[in-house]
Amino acid sequence: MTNAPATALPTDDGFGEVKLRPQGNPILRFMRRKPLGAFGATILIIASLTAIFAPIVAPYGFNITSLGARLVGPQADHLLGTDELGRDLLSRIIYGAQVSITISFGAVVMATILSLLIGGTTGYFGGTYDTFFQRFVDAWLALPGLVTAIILVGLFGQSVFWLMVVIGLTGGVQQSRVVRSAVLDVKHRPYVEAARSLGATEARLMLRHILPNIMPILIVLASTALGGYILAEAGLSFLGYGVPPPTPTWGGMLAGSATQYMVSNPSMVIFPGLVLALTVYSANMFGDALRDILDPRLRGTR
Amino acid sequence: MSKYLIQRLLLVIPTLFLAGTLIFSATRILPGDAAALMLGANQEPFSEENLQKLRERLGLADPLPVQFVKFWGATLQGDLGTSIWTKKPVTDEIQRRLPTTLETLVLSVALGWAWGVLVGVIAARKPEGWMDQVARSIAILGLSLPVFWVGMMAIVLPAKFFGWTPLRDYKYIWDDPVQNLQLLIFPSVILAMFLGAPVMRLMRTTMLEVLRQDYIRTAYSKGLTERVVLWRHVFKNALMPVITLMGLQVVAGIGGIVVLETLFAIPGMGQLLVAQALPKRDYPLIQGIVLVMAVITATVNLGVDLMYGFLDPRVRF
Repeated sequence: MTNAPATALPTDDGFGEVKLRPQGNPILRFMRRKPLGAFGATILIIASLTAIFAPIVAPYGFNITSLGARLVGPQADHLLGTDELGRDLLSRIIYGAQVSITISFGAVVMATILSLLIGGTTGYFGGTYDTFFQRFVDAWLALPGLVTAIILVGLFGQSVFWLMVVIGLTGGVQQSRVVRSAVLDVKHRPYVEAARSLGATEARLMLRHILPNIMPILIVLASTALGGYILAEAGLSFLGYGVPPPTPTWGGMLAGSATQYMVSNPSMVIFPGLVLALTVYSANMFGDALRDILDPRLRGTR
Repeated sequence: MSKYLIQRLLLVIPTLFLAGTLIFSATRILPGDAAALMLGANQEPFSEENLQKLRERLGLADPLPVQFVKFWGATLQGDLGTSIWTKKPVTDEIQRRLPTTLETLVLSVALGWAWGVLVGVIAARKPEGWMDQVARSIAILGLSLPVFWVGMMAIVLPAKFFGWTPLRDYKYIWDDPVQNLQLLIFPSVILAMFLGAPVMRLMRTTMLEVLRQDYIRTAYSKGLTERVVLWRHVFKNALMPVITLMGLQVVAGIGGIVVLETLFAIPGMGQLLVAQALPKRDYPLIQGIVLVMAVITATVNLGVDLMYGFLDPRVRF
C-alpha cells in the first residue's frame, strides 16, 4: 500500500478490488456474458430495420407480379423464387416483417399495460375486488388463447391495430397473474410500510415504491413474451384471421394457396417459415438471456 | 382435506359459468349473422321479412337476456342446442369428434413430457456442460418453431424427396388402430416438440434446486450410487412443481391442435371449429366446442391441484 493513490476510488475500501457497481459499458457486458442473447438482439434489430426500410431494401414491390416467372425456384432475378402469381418471395418476406414486427411489439406494450392494470390493482388492493376479478381471469385462462383470439379478431376486424390489441389482451391476462404475485410480494416490504407511515398517498406508494421494484419482472415478462406474440400473429394469419391479403404477412404467405403449391414449389413455404422461425428464435434467445441477468429466480419457467 | 376438496370443487362452478358467459356474449356480438348468411347460401329472395322469419326459427330473434337464460338452462341439462346449418344436435357433432382431439392431446402431452423430463434430468446432471447447453438450445428451438410450419415441412419434404404423402382418409382408433396412429402421430409429435420445451426447462431448474439440498449430500455420503440418488431422491421431488405445468399445456395443446387438425385434415373438434363453425357463424356449434374445451382445461387444472396434495405428503389442505 506504499503507492496508494492520493484519491482513493469510492469502491476501494482496502480489501482489494470491490466492485459496488458493474463496470464498463452495459451493452458490451451483455454481449460478453450472453453471446447468444446478443445474437438474438442483433437479429431483432436487423428485422426491425428491414421492416422500416422495406421499400428501399426489397428488390420488387410486394404486389408486383411477373407473369413470365410464376412458381419458380431460387434464381438470379428472384433470389428466393416466386409464388403462383409471380410475386417475388424475397420482397414479400421483407415487407411481411412490417406486419409481424409492428403487431408483436405493439402487443407487448398492450400486454404490459393490461397486466399492470389487472395484476397491479388486484395485488395491491386485494380483498373482494381481487377475489372477484381473479374468477374472471380463471375463466379467461380456461379458454384456449388462440380460439379467443380468433373470435375477438372476428369481432373487431382484421386490422393491424386490432390484432395488436387482441394478442396483447390474451397475453396480458396471462401475465397479470405474475404481476399480481410480484406486487403481493413487494407490498409488505418494510420500505413500503415506512413510506406509508410517512403519509405517502396510495398513488405515490404504487408509482414510486412498488412499480420500480417490480420493473425487472415486467421487463422479463415482456421480453420472453415477444417470441410467442410473433408466433400468435403468424398462427392467426395462417388460419385466415390475420391482416388480410394483399398485405404480405409471414403467416399469410404459408396459408391458402401456399398449401396447394407447396409440394411443386417448396420455396414458397420453406423461406417464409425459416425467416419466421429465425425471428422467433432470436426473440426467445434474447428474452432468455435478459431473464438470466435480471431475474435468475425465474429461470426455466415460461 | 375434505374442506379443501369441497372448496376447490366449488371453485370450478364460477370459472365455468363465467367462461360460458364469455363465449355466449362473444358469439352474440360477432359481426355477420347466420340468418343473413343462410339466406345468401340458399339463394332465396333476400327480404327483411324472410330474414326475420329465419331469425325467429333459429331463436336469434329473442332478446339477448332470454337467449342467455335459454342457453344456460339447456346447457345445464346437457343440451348444447342444434347446429344452425346441419340441423344435427351439437352434442352429436362434438361426440363424433371429441375422441380424435382427446387422443391427439393425450398423445402429444405424453410425448412432450417424456422428452421434456428425460432431457431435463440429463441437462441438470452437469449444469453448464455441453449436454446442458445443447439441451437448452433444443428447448428454445422447440418454443420457436411454428407448429403449423413444421407440419407443412412434414408434408412437403417427404413428398419432395421420397414421393411419399401422408394418408388422407381418416379411421377411428376403434376401427383401424394402425392407420389411426399413422395419421395422428404427425400432429402429436410436432405438438410434443413444442409442449415438451417448458417441461424440460422447469425440470432442469427444479432438479438443480433439489440437488443443493442437505438430504442429497446425506444420500451420497451414505455411499449410494449416483443413479439411485438421482432417480429415487432427486427426481421424485423435482417432478412435483413441474406437474403444475399440465394445465397450461392443455390450453396450449388445444391451440396447437386447432391449427394442426386443419393442416392435416383430421376430423377433430379444432377442424370443426375453424373450417365449419366459425366461418358459418354457427353459434350453438361455436359455443359447444369452446365450452367443451373449457371443461377439459378446468378438469385438468382441478386434477392437478388434487393430485398435488395426494403426491406430496407435506401438502396438508
